[in-house]
Amino acid sequence: MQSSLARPSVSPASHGRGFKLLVAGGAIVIAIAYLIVTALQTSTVYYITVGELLQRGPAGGALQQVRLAGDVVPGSVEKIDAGLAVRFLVHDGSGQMPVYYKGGPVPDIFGDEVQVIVEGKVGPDGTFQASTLLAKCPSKFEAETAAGA
Amino acid sequence: MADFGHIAIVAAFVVAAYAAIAAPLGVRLRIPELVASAYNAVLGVAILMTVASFTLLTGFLTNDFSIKYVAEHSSREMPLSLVAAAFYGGQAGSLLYWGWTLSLFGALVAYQQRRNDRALMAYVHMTLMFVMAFFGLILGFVASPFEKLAVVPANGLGLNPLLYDLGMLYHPPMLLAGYMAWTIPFAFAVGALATGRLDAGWIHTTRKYALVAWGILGVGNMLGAWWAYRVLGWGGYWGWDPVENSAIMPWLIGTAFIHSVIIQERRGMLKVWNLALVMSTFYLAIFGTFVVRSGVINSVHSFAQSAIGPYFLVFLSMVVTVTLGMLFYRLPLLRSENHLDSMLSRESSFLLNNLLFLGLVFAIFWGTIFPLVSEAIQGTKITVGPPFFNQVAGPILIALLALMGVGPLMPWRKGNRSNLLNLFAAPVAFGVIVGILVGIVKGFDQPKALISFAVCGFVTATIMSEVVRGTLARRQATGENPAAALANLISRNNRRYGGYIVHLGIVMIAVAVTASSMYQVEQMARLRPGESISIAEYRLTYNGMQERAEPGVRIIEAQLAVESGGQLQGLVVTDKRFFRGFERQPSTSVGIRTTPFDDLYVVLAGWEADGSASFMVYVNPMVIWIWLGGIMAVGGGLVALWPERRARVVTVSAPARGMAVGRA
Repeated sequence: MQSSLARPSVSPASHGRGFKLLVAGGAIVIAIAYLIVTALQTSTVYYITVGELLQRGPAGGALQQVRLAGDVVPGSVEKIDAGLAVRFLVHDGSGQMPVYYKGGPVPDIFGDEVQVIVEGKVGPDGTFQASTLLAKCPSKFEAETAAGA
Repeated sequence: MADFGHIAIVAAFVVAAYAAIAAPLGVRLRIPELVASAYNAVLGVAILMTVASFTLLTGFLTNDFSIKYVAEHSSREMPLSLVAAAFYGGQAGSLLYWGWTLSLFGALVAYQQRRNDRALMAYVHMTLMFVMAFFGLILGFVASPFEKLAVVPANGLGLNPLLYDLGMLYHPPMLLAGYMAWTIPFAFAVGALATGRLDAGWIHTTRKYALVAWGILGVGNMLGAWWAYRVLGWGGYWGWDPVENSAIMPWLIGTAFIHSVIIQERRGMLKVWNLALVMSTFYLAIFGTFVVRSGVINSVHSFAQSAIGPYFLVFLSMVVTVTLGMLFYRLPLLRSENHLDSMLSRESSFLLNNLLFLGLVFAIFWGTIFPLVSEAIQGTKITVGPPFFNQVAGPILIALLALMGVGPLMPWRKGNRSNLLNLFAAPVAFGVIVGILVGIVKGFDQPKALISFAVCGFVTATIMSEVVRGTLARRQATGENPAAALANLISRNNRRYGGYIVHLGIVMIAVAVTASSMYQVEQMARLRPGESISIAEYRLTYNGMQERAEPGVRIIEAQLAVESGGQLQGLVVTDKRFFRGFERQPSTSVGIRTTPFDDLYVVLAGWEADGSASFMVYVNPMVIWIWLGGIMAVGGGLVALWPERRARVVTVSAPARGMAVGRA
C-alpha cells in the first residue's frame, strides 16, 4: 500500500530500457519456442496399440519409429543369449505382435501379462524390433502382488 | 482399531474445515474468540492426524491384517525397518503421510508466527486448513487407509521387492514432504492477497519456509535419482518420465522464486511475478500429486489408479481460479516501487534467470502433457521421449549455468561496462581454457559437452574470485588470518555465501551429468567362467555364480574380478534376488564400483544351465560427483538458512566494484 506512494518519477530513459528489456525477453521467449518446435519435429513418436499397428500393414509400421503398448502374452517370453535379448508376443485384445528386444537391460518386472511399452520399428520379417522396453513399475502393489502371493 | 483411525481422520476433516471458516470469519467480524478457536483448531488437527498416523503404524507393527492397507503392504516376515516404507508405499498411506506432515507444519507455523499479524495469519490458517480439509475429505471418504477386510487373511501380501531398499525409505517421504511444504509459502501469498498487505512482509516471513521447502523437494528429487541409479538397473539416474517431470517442475519454479524474492526484498520490484511464482509452485505440486496418482499420463511408475484423480482436478481448478482472481483483484496494489535501471545489472540477470526457469518448466510441462494434447486435437497419441527433453533442456540449462557466473558479478542498479569487462575477462578465459583442455584429452567431437565444461569452469572461476576477493578485503580490514577471515565472511554474509556454496554444488552436478551422459561407455557380453571383457580402462573376468539364501530370499550372484592398469582392483558382485511371494519377479542388484573418475556399473542380465552368464556393463564417468554436489548444495542451503548474526561490525566491501558484500 505504501508502495504506490513512494514511486520515483519515471525518466524518459527508463522507458528506453523497458523497451530493451522487452526485446531481450522476447528474444529468449522466441529462442525457447524455437527449441521446443524443432525438438518436437525430430523427436515425436506415435503411440499406438497393437491393433492400430496391424491395421497399417507391414509397410506402414516399418516406415517410422512408434511406441507400442500392450500386454505380454503368457508363456511367449523367450530369452536369447542368456538374457541379453528377449523375444515375446504383445497383445491388446485386437491382435498380437511378435517383438524382439536387444540393447539394454530387461526390467525386473518384465514377464507374463505385464504391461509393456516398446519403442522401435517393424522389421522386414514382421517382427517389431524394439530399442527400448519399459515395463510398468508395480508401485501398484495392490493388483500386481495378488498374483505373486 | 481401524475405526479409531478412521474417526480421527474424519474428525480432522471437520476440525480443519471449521478452522478454515472460523479464522477469516473471526477477523472479518472482529471476534477474537473465534480467531483464537481457529488457532486451537489448527493444533487440534495436528493431534488428530498424528493419532491417525500412529494408528496405521500400530496396525503395521502388530500385523493387523484386518486393515486392508496393512494386509496389502506388509507381511509377517517383513523386517521392521521396512514398516515405514510400507506406510507410504501405497496410495492411501502416502496421502495420509502428506496430510499428516501438512498438519504438523501447519501447527508449527501457527506456533512460530503466533505474534505475527493476526489478520494475515488468519488467512494463512484458512488456506492451510482448506488444503488440509481437502486431504481429510479424500482420506476419510474416498481413499481411506483404514478400509477393513471382511475376511482377515492369515498373512499380508508384503511389499514389492523393488521397494526393498534404503532409497524407498527416504525418497518418497522427502518428495511428498517437499510438495507439501510449498503449501506454506502459498498460504502466506494467499494471506497477503486477502489482507492487501502486499509489501515485502510476507516474503520476509516465508523466505525460510520457502528455502526449506525448496531444499526438501530438491533432496527428494536427488534421492529419487540415486534410487533409480542404484536399484532400477538401467544405468540412468534420470529418464524424463512424467512422474519425474512432475517432481522437478515445482522445484524449478521454486528455484526461480527464491531468486526473484531477492529483488523484491532489495528493490521492491517483481511483486506480481513473485506471487505468481509461488502460486504456480503450489499448483504444480498438486498437479504432480495428480499426475502420479491418477494415471492420466502414461508413466513407468504406474501407481494404483483410482477415483481420486477427478477430486484433485476439481480441487486444483478451484484453487487456481480463486487465487488468480485474487491476484487480478489486487493488481492495483502491486505496482513496482522501482524500475529497472540498466540491462547490465543484478536485477536484469535475475529477470533473465526467471525467464529461463519459466521457459524450461514450460517446455517440460508441454512435453509431459503432449500425449494428452495431441490426442485431444488430432485423435492420435503422440509421445515425446528423452530426446525431446534433452534437446530443449540442454541449452536452457547451460544458459542458466552461465547466469550463475554472471549474476554475482553484476552490481545492483547499473553496471559499468569497462569495469565489468575487467571482472569477466579472467573467468571467461579460464572457462575457455577448461573447455579446450577437455577437448584435447577427450576429443572435439562432443562440442556440447565442451561448451558445458567451459561454462562450468567460468562459473567456478567467478565464484572463487568472489570468495577470494571478499576474504582478502576482510583480512585487510580486520587483520584476521585468511581462514578466520573466510569463516567470518561466510557467517556474516551467510545468505550470499550459502548461495555460492549451492551454486558450486550445482556446478559439480552439471559437470558430472555432462560427463556421464556424453561419455558413457557400454558393452554387453555373455561370458563363461574364466572369460573376460575389456571396457574403458577396466578388464573384467567372470569368476562364476553361486547361490545362497537369506531369510525370505534366495540370491543368485555372479562375481567378476576387476583389473585396471594390470592391477587387480577387487570384485564386483551383481545378483538377482527371489523374494518369497515374488518368485516370478526377481529383483536385480547392480554391482557398482565407484571411483572419483567413474562408476563401473554391472548388471546381471541372465544365465544358462552351462554356467555362462550375460552382463550389461557400463562405465559412467564421474557419477559420484552428482551425489557429492547434491550434498554440497544441501550444505549451502543450510548455511543460507542459518539464523543471521546481527552484523554490527564493519561491512566489508569489495573495492574493485564498490559494492557492499552485504546480504544478497
